[in-house]
Amino acid sequence: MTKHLSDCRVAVVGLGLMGASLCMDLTQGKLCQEVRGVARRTDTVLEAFFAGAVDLATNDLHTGVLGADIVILSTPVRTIVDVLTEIGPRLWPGALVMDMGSTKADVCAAMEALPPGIQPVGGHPMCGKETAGFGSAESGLYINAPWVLSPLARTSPDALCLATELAEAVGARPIVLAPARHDRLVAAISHLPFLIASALVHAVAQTGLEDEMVWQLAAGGFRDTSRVAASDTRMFIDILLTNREAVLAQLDVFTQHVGSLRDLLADGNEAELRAKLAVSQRARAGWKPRK
Amino acid sequence: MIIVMKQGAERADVEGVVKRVEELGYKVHLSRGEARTIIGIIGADEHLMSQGSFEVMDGVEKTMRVMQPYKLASRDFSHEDTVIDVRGVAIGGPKIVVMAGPCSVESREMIIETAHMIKAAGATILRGGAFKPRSSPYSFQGLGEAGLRFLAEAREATGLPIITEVMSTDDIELVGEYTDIFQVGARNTQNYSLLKALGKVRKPVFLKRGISGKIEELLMSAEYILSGGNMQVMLCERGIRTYETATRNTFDINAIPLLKELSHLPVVSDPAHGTGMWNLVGPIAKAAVAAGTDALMIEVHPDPKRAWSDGAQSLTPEKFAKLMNELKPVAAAVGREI
Repeated sequence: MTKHLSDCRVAVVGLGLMGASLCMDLTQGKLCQEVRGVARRTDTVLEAFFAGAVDLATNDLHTGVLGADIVILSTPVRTIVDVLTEIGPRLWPGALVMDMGSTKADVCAAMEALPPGIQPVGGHPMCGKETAGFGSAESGLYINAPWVLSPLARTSPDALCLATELAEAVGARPIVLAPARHDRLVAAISHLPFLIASALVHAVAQTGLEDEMVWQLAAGGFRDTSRVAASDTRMFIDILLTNREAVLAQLDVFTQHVGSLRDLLADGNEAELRAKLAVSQRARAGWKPRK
Repeated sequence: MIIVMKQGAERADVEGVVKRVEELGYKVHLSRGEARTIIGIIGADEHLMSQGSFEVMDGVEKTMRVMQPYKLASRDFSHEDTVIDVRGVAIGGPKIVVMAGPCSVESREMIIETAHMIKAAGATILRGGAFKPRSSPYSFQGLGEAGLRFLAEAREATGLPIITEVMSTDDIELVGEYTDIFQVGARNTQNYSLLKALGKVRKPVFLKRGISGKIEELLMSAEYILSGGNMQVMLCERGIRTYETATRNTFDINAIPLLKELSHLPVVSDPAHGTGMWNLVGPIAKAAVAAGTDALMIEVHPDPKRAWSDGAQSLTPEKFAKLMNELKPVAAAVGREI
């Protein structure tokens, strides 16, 4: 018997940007039977409840996920792994367990260890912002966002269908990817940019120590290249530590390119510098952001 | 414990109550009732009620005790009835399921013959004991694995799913290779290590009420299985020991509607053990259907006089077929099918 989203009780664990925005979409669109929000902090529980983002709000994980048809984990990655271990034996047979963590290898390995009968689908909607927490949540966050889904070998086709239905119901575009492939790709387009932005801010701050005027001059270019450095540190620490090898590999590639740009500049090799910059200029101009 | 806020209570009132709950070290559940906020408190004991003095707080209408120590088995946690699917037979749905067969599997031919007979009469699950918990160590103890094999052959021959008893943790693997439903007998209802182990399997468990077991004890036993992660549990009323000796046990008809009210789990009735007398099985089966049972377990033996166990409470296949017909109008009267 195929279950549809409209028949399901959905429990969202973690009411930060991603989790709370999803709750709002589900509640406002009346997309499912019941939306439960589980948050660690009582203030968040109260906030989510009074904002009408959830039907039921609790800070008790065990009873929050009890009897849910779909459980979505939207805490930082390492917490997702802990939560999976903790709730595994308490889930109902057939329950779909999804996550929204930014790296997939550790999460999918923990999902593999769930009791049989539970249906895991790893996931990662690509719509983060540099602001975190319930206060930054908004409905419609998922519209047009790619939502990576990583089913496991044990996942039933029906469960993947339900996960896809959920992603589409909030306007996202589901893309099925194996965990390792996902992690390698996001290391390049998300985790590396974060580290580069962080290094960039460090470099500018160092200049700022000598001459504060630098902050007043900073405008569009600095804003765009440093934006993600303002992201939630706790979230990114988990991401970096759970995707260390892929990120290191990307950093090595990046360092090579920085090194070669530096060498060309130091040598005053204008022709080659121009050629190298032209390549990246064309590649960037050819890429259109989805939103 | 549940705190019901007044209609139109302010957010600050709710926050006040929640803060107080936190100070006492408990977690909260916030939900909406009819135009009012309901605050559920997890794991709160009676102590909290007096300590918290919630009733005098602003915006509080009343507080209610939730006494049940069982959580997963409780109706509060799943308003919908649990329906257990056993090879296409739904237990806990609108149709009342009849499980029938002999007390013990006595031979290959006997169990296959009985399976055909009960199927023809309308039963949809075959029962039969291979490991028998007997009051005397000198009584027949069951055929063991051979009995399981014969049951599986009967399933093959008739398509009926099978249920059989598992008596010890050591036998779970072996019994699990054959059975579709694990039966836990009345003598094992509080064998917590067996229950815990059955919490780890992913096959339905049929849990009988203990011989002197209280309703709450039965639900706590179910909680052991549920908390292990196995949510497919059905509860069986099979009669309790009272001062009355005219019948083997006293079938507790109260248990059926009460269990349905307290829990979302399917309820099965066993009028054979509940009475111990074949001539009472039919009337009590009808009473159980009228009271809202989801399934019946009835002992049927091709020749009860020669049965190796429980002959006195077994029906002949003819009497069983007659009873099945008589149950239909009773089921219809309470909006069910059989």
